[in-house]
Amino acid sequence: MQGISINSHQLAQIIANIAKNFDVYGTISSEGKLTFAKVEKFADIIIPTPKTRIPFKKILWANHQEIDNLPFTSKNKLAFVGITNCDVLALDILIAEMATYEFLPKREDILVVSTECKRDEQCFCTAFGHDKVVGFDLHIQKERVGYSVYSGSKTGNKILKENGLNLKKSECSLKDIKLDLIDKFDEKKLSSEINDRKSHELLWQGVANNCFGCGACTAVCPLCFCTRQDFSNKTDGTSKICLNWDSCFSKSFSEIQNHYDFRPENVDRLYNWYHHKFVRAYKDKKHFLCTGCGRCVKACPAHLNQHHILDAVEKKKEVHHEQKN
Amino acid sequence: MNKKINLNYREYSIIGRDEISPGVNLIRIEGQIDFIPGQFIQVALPHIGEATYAICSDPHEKSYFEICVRACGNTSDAINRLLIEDKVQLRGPYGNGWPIKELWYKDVILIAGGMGLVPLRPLIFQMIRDRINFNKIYLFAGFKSAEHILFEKELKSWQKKLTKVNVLAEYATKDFWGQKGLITEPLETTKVNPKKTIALMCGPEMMCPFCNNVLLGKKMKDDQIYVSYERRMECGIGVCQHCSVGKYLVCKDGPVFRLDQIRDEVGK
Repeated sequence: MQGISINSHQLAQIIANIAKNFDVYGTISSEGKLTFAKVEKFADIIIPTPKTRIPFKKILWANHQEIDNLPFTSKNKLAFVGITNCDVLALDILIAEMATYEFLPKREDILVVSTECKRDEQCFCTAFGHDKVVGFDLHIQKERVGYSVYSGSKTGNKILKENGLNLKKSECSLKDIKLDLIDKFDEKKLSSEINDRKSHELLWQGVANNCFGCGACTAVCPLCFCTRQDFSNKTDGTSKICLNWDSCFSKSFSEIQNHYDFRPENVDRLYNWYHHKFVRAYKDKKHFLCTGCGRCVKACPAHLNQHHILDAVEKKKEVHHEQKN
Repeated sequence: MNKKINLNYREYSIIGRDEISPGVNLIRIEGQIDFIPGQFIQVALPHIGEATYAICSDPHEKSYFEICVRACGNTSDAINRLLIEDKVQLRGPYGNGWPIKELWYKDVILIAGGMGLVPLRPLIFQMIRDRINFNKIYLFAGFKSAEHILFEKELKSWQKKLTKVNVLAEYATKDFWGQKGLITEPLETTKVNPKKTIALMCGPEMMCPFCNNVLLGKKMKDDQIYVSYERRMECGIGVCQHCSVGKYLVCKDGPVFRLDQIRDEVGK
């Protein structure tokens, strides 16, 4: 794909113009900390963009949200500026999962300005074949001098035109994502191997023995959206139905009447996590609830590497648990 | 394009309540819900919480419907304390319900353990109404003790209308009108034509594997046994993932599953 070279002033101009019409959220550095939050000024946006610990999930699918008063519906004009390719894919998947409910805005109602990502050792998006940058309205890439901008939709074209940039004057090309030493998964095989729990029972047991069951992986995962329905009671006497985010690693997640738990062991809960992401979602909508962003690997206090676990399940080998102090 | 699903609550008022066994209330709610026997509704009490109940009244009754509530949690405790004319919020019905057409012109074995009789009750009403469509109907209803028996009058009246009604209590005195023992005992002595029989089952998680073994021992196959699964239900519309059973969600694909669909999950 062809793009246009721009300098930082032009980029600031584009983002300032977007900010006039949209609520802009993005990866910013605030008081020295990396966070996904409301963008106040262009200088905060970091390109190439590293992964924030908590993804865009906290904006669209907050931990606690009242059903009558959801943060974003199709009325709001929402823009994500400075979001990595894996998160753009995750956004598409999240919206597809919620397509039959009225909880999220449509994809057309969100302006996505993705940015070149800064890879780290936990990334494994290419294992799912995500080596091309896709799904954006605009994409910004850092060049040796200045930046280059690409349009991926009509909205993107329109914004470029409004900023006086001509697409025909193409000078740069879009970079692919390259990660070393990562083999591509065979999706069907991965899904069917995970579905077949019995033949991998030892592996799951081994992983569960090392897992603390803390649910940190679910907290940081952009595609962990399980909820618990609750009432938020106000001091003025009113009560509203709300959805509270819930982790499937918590013991109460699968508890029914009289404290009967049908996933009593950590291995059952851990397996359920993989089963939902790679079997149930794949059966229903033909996508995995994982884009290989590697946040879970980074967040795991037990140093479990989810990529290696998937690799071991697919290739029927043993997991090598990293020993770190 | 599918119709968008949302959590739309409707308000209904309670017109009757009756304690049918210790801690279990049959609550009658004014209004009409079109439902298939076996489907469930979500009943919410603002400030307190929400719980899942199978509708247990006759599906042909147009002026009211009933739910059977055993007090064993926050919400069910509060629902059991409600009085006539109190309001409840509810949404639904959800789920697939019992496969009634599969049962036509076949022998039917109904197995209910304790509160498992509740989702089977509307089906029994319907089967009695269309009795000509079904061959033999056996009902096995097991309870913890004689005083825990639900719908006692109806069980007695069904004895004339169904082929055989076995009411069992694990603990009972000598003058108990039913049988003493576990549900598997009369099930084992019942003659079954394995080619022409369908079994429907609802009960505690512990009961299902034992009954399945008895039925499979009678040369019935996995695809002739249907189980209504009870799981922690939160949203009822397939978002929250609390109710997953293997590849399926109870709220979207269930609560009634054919045994071959969920073979690995039974007894877990």
